[in-house]
Amino acid sequence: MKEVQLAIVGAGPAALSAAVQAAKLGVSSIVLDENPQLGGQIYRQPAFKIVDEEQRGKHYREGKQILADVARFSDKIDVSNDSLVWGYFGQKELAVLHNGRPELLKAQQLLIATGAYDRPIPFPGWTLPGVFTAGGVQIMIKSQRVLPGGRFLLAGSGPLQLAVADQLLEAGAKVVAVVEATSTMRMMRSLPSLLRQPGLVFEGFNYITKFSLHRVPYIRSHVIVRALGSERVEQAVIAAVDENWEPLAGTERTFDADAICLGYGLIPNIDLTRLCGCAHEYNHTLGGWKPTHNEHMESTVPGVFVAGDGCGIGGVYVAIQQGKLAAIYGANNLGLLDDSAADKLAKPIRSKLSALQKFEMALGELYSLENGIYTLATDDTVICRCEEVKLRDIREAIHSGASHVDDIKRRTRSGMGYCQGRMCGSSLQGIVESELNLRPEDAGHLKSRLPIKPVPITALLDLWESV
Amino acid sequence: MNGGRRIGSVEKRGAEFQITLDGREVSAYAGETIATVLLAEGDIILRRTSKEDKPRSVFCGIGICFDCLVTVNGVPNQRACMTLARPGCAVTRQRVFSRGAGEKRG
Repeated sequence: MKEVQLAIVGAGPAALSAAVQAAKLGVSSIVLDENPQLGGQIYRQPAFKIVDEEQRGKHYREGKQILADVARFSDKIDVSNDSLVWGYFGQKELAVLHNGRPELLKAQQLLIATGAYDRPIPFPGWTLPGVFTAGGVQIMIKSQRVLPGGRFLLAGSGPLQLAVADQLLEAGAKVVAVVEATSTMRMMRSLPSLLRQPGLVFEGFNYITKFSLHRVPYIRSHVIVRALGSERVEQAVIAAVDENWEPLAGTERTFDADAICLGYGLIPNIDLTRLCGCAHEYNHTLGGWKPTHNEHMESTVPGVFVAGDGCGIGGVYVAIQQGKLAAIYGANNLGLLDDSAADKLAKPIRSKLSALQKFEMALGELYSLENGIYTLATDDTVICRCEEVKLRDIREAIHSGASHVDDIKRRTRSGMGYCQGRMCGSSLQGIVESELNLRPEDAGHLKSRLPIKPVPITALLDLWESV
Repeated sequence: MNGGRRIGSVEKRGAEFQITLDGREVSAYAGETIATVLLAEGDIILRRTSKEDKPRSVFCGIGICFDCLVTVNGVPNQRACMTLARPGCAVTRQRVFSRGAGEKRG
């Protein structure tokens, strides 16, 4: 079995800044990532040479810089793309599918920086071809340079959809509306705390100014309530909402669109931290369930660190600082750095981090999801996309006694399909909370089971033979 | 209806090569995923579901949702958004043509 000082799962800002920081401290690491390219979602580089590099935005340039740093430390950082970490067997042993071949890896220290994904929100028509997540559309535009439609309606909550609308306009698409669930009043209330980062607030206003130039309506206090079409999206229906994001009768408006882009914030990807047995806690502002960690970024399992959006949504700059801290205390655990040296190195990072987190918390509170959004689905709406389990089935399970998301899973198969509950887990939780008036902690979270993503049985047989 | 398209001119892309899509030859460019090739062709329906025969396409675009499953070189259930197109690869959409056919639950 391959052994390594530090295994890092993920290849976004948290993972790469950790790898670079670790290398500077003399730690050898392996970066395991499922994608064919480094960078995670935010630093995703274009798949081909782009002529107008200057037009590509600051995340692209910052990403390029951090990738150059990783390359500079190639003697210390082993980059393993096309590496799906699908299992954990205790003692920091990881099961990896690398280019379709099974491998086992033993790490002395482990950093899980698996990022986040768009929060799925079910509503009638949301499974129609032409409905995409905001993050997905962003990857299509900035990395793959493809437009999945011609007329886009964006709906959701938060700053990501502003950026996506801007990128769509740049790419020559028609944006028929940007629909924001959060009310103007709530935005005004948050403005003072958001002004801690005037640059980012300015960026937001810039986008909105640009929308008015392009005659793109930016509609606040509204949500998408239905997508219409027989074989693919043809229309989107929106409605005004109350403060709990429940749609108000008689306020519906219909737009012609062939693509709908959903951006209701991000949720931490915690399959692996669950599998490792790390304790988790619920924090609505930080995206929901997240692994508990101390100020060293160490989870409740000694030697298993967490950083970035995967341990609570904090954005790219928080992720970078958290990655550095994890690397410092990983080196400390390895005995390469004594306690006082580690604390000294961590101190300036920690103060940067705390300033950044204040802003991110304000942003998180401003765009924090209201539970009324889970009233959009009707009995016939599919909640579990993989197994085609409908709200009716879930309600029946609840009425016959299920009160925890895992109960619903066992009774309905919701969460048992290919995606392993990543698409329906947060909705199940929202539905159970609303139906039974429970706290999120009581509605619970789906258990993580290995393989956390599907692995061909032949790969397991190969592994069996090699052990 | 063809809503999807590549952004910018194709000369700025990687090397052009051919793949087959349900047996039909289409152009792809180095670095593109199979999802990109399909979306650019306007073929946004990538499969039909096994229970209700409903159309599905790419949804999350980052390998999380498993909605964009296609068969690549005979291996079923590959995520189109995570699989790079390679010269000569044969992509077949799953159950798209099988409404009412015997393969339906296959």
